[in-house]
Amino acid sequence: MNLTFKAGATITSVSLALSFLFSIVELPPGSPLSPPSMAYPLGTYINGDNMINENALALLNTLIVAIAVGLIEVIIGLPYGMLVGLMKGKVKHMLVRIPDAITIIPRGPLALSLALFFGSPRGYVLATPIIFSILIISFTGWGNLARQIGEIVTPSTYSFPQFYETFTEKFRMSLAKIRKTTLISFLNGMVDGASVYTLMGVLGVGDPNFPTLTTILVTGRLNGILYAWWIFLIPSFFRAIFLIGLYMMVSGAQRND
Amino acid sequence: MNPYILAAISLAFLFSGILFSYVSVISEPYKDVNYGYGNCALPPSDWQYRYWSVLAHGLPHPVLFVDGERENPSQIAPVKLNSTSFYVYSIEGYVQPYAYLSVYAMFSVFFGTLLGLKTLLYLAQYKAIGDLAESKSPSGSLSLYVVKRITNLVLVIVITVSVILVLEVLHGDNVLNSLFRMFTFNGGISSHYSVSVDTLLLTSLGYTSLLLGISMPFSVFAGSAIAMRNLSTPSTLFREWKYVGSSLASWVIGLSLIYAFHYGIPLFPSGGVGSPLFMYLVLPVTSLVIPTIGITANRMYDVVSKFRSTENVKHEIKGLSSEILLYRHVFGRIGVVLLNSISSIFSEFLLSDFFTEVTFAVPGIGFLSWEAVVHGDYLVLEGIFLLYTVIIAVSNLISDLVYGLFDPRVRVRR
Repeated sequence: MNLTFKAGATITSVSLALSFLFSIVELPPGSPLSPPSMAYPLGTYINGDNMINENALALLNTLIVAIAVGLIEVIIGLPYGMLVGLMKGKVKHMLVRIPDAITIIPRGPLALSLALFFGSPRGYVLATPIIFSILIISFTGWGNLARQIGEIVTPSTYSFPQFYETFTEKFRMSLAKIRKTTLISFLNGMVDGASVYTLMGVLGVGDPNFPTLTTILVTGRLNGILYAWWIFLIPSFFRAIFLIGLYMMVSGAQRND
Repeated sequence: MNPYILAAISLAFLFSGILFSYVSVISEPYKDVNYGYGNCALPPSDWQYRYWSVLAHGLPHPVLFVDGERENPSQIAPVKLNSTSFYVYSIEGYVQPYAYLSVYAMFSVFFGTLLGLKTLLYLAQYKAIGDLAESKSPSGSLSLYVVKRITNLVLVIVITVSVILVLEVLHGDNVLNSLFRMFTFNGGISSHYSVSVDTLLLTSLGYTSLLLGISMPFSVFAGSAIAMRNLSTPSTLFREWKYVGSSLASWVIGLSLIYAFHYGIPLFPSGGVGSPLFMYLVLPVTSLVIPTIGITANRMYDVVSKFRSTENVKHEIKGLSSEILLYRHVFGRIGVVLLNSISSIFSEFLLSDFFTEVTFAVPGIGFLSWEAVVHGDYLVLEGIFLLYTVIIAVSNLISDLVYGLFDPRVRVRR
């Protein structure tokens, strides 16, 4: 583990710990839309809730989505990639084309079209159960890992029969590489989950029961309170810190040292 | 090719792209009229297919005169009359008569940026090493390369159309009707706006291409210039900018700018578009440029560093001067790689632009997506999906072709 990875892991862990703590410990509410003060360091929300609690809950929800997306992408992509490596001929060719096709299609509009199918539009927001959002993001994101693993475990072909390589031999030789690729893909999946879910929030997609950092933003904008900067900028700042932590972990894992 | 001619062509494409984008968003009052004699007043046929400027000026409204008396129907639909009368039924609103130019404008901006980037590298090479900048490589078959790239484009569009067909069937549409609409380039009628999806897409695409036309070339050229300058003195801040640039999305910067220059110091208007248009575009363009300039510079720098380290080894073996090494060999190789990565930069830019439009309520494709999502207008969203795919796929094809033209090594060997 290098310094960049450690720094990223520290940022992510501290974010997780603080958001978990303040989503349990309820701080005293105040009058609605109070700006930041000594009593309310991050101000209060439309309903008077302490913005520390609101931000913590939103960050925790974003983190849940990130971890779930990362895990599902690995759960689908890893065995699929193995299967690609194991198969030969036309079956292999066909199996390779599926993640290729998923990777080719522009992800943003596809995710929105799928969200529209599963969600219920309410004129100001598209209420989509969080589980569907997780599945949509994972479904459109597992292709890369499958392709990479498929390439790693596909036995090399040589002109000389004495160098013939079996799938098992190739798999054994590539274990370290598979582990590293899977870790990077899991972290990339987390980045994907967090950023795509919050971006979908900007376009009005979200689960009212699981507000994210951008759901706060959308709700605020629709209530005509754009002047209340603490409702918008502070969640954006937390989103940025959280993503920086994840990006650093990915960057650290990619380095060889 | 002479870099100065290349620069002139690039500028011509960029300026025409921005100009055509601007022309495509110009709106004017329009009246679509039908008249007749009977007991039912009918609105003009095909009124839904005019280029109504719905997002910028609102929906068109009906005006009905029956025997010289004005009536105000609540919605645009046939009106049953009390007796057989002479009527004039008009639909009044604003149209963007040149909305169709937005399609050309979008690709012109992309092509201009692509050529501009090549020009920038060429100019730097020529300035340093003169005619040695010309590259000569064994040539492959350009026609086979083109066929291969076009096949890729067709494949992407076929996959997207198939996904859309599946979604439409799941929404309860007839598969043959959907297929017929797609083959006739008819996106259907928007359930929320009651005008054609094609109208909505074309009228909003102009604003998107205008925003992109101003911000993308600036970010790409400035990013490349920063990356080239950093070759001699790399800075940590520059290297780590990717974290800040990727996490502080354009819409976050957009919000900060709104607080600073709209609420704080009221210098610029925000929220929709108005007159003068330029003032309404300053903040969205700035918010698009700030994060992307760093990301673009970083991506360029990564490519340059990668090639530089491998070329350094050859330099030591061959004993080449560092100038020849950098400007002929390193720049020669990164030029083609950068041309290829410009399409992914374009794709990222387009997505960032979507969110910036939503933040500033600029009536482009991104804002239209938001409207379609929250109102459940699936035909509009599928239209955006298809349009986005076609734009990205065609821009990929353009960059691949230019890539193949400049670098014979990537062409298919017979």
